[in-house]
Amino acid sequence: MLMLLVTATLEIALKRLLYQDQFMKTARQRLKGKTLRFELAELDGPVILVFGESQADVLTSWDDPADCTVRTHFSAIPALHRRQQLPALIKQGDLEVDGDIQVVQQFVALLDMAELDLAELLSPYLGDVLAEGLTQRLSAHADKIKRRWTDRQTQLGQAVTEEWRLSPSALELAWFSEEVDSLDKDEGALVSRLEKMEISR
Amino acid sequence: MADEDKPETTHFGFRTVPKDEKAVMVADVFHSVAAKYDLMNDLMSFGIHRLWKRFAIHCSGVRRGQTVLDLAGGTGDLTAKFSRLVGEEGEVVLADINDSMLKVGREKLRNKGIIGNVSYVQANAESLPFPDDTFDCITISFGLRNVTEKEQALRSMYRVLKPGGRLLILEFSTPLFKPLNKAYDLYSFHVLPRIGEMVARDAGSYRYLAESIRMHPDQETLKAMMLDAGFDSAEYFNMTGGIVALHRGYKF
Repeated sequence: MLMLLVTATLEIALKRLLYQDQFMKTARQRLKGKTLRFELAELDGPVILVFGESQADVLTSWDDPADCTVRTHFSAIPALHRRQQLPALIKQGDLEVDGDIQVVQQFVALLDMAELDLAELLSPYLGDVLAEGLTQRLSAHADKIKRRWTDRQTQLGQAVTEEWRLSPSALELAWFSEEVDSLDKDEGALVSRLEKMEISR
Repeated sequence: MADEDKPETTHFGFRTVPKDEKAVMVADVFHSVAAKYDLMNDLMSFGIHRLWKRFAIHCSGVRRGQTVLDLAGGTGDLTAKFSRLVGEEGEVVLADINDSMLKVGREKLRNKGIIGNVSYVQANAESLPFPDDTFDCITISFGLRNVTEKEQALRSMYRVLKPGGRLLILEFSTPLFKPLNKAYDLYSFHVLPRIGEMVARDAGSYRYLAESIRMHPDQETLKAMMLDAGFDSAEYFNMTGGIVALHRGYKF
């Protein structure tokens, strides 16, 4: 039942994201009639997207062979909404593609074009003014939380390196790294001198 | 002699009525609720009916190019999905005995742009107007309990299924847990008719809904009926503690 709920939510989300804007129609048409199968390492079964004219159906079983099968893991999914990251993901082995690679490329391109505007999603239910106000407030709160998180990270980092001296500071690390580099160079020079001497003997 | 004159009876909810009157009475119920059918389904089931239907689709194994009959298809929830899954080369027939439901379903699907591979047929499940071995899959979702002659309807479905085809019956059933039973009764007989009164201005139809669910065969009985009608490998899946069950049977 949980998986059904997940696929239903995903289906609604994809419809909102990919099937509302007119400017994405051409990109959607390229995927019409195609099937894209995701096999995630963390899940027992596959998730299959069947692209249609008005929406993509999200299924957990599909007896026909898929046009493209993607084997990946959850952590690689967020990177999929940036088209330029796709080749890197494939190269790193985070994404294994079987079948027509164009299907996944076109899907990623479509995701890249999608703009998630919370105000637009809320406005049919709350009205434009309320939706915009709520979105701005949420965004301000999110920024605040992000800033606080960064501050806390910096404070903790300074406490660990400067106050409690549990770990070397960034400057000390840089100095150590330079020392290692210099030692490495000296060693290289010594080796080449020894080689020259051996040849001249 | 007196017994021969007495008309055959069946149940309509908790009432016993002549068999030939039940279809008209059920039709009246659905004429009355057709306009608010989708809204009421969402309210009554808290939206869970969408997950039950999704599970039915998951179990249907429908593929591109297949022919599907959505029997008692009402407002076309399953038809919409099947239409996309079978694609342009497939076909879906939305059939319902009630013309009001069929009209609401047709309008809804056309407004959604679902045209081309869907046809609409007003048909009685007991005598389906299709040739033998026509469909790859038949679904009847929350419709079988309203059929007067269920055995005859199952035989009719078996006849029009292709060999290798499957029948899926999504229907209210018997809850598995006793405590859930009591809460379910309270909800069905007291809350449901009130929601019906408030939203659809029709408490009676929703009282019938609750009563007809109680009169419907339980999971094992329906499975036995399917096997009697000729279906093979009949099985069922309980959902939401048995409040709803999906029965599946094959024609081999």
